[in-house]
Amino acid sequence: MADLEFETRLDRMFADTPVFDDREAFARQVVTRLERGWSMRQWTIWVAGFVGGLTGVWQLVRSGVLVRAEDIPTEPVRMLSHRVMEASKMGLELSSLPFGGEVMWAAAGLSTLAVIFVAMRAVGEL
Amino acid sequence: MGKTSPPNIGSLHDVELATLAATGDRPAFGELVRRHGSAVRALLRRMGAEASVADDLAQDAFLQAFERVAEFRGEGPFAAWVKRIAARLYVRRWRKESRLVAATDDGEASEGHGGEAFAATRIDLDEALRALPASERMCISLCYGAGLSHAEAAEALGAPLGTVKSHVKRGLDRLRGRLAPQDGASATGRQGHG
Repeated sequence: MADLEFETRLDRMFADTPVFDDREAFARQVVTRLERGWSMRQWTIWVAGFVGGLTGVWQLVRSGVLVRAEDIPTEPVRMLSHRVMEASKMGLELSSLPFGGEVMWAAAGLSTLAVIFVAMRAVGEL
Repeated sequence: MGKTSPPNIGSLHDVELATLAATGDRPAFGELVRRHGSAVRALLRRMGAEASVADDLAQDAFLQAFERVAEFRGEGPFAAWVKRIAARLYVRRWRKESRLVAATDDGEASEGHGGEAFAATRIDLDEALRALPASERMCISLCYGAGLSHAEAAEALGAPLGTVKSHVKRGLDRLRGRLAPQDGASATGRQGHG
């Protein structure tokens, strides 16, 4: 038997593999591990985003940005608000909102978290 | 979560399934596992892994394949691509267990199976491979089962190219005697894979 012929035969024998009876169960196990890994990854991203958001808000509060923001002269802010309102033509006046700066920052933080959550879900759907 | 697979997923070609899997479609990848899982598991067993170890490593190989499935361009069969991943995983484990060093001097690990009585019966590849010393079995399986070149096998094993070639040559000689005992032609190694 020529060398090449034997090697070709060997290739064929290696390619000729049995089909295991439990191949369906094996495939299910792999998919289950994939799903588990994907869930873990999603939770990790979610928790990391949440912790990051909380840390960010906490840092803002601790840095005294809110206090300093209250010290900013009101005139420029009012003018800016006025222009923003004009541009948006929403008719909404921020100055009339019935809450303070802390609530605004908290709302911004929650919005950020919501955006992170939505982005995470979107990535999951892709 | 993830995209919904088409209902006729079983009729899709491997490349199409791989393309779907690259978008995160796990059912599509599950179909690939169902089709080729046996081949990968069989290769690992032929390389010398115990059944449970072979199955675990085959799962790991498929998980790795899923992570890297975007790299699969369909130039070759999907099974061959996963086999190479699985073979490298097993070699890494094999080396970690320091069996390569021991196996290099393992000698005639399986001559107990040898002799005319062995050759006279119908011997399948699995049995013939079991009769090889571990290092020869590994090299033969890597080059002929996983499709690695001699150089790639040497790199995976961390062994000199010449050592791998001699293992392959000796392994081929032994296999030839067992798989085709009526033929006494000599082996000269593999040109195509070298």
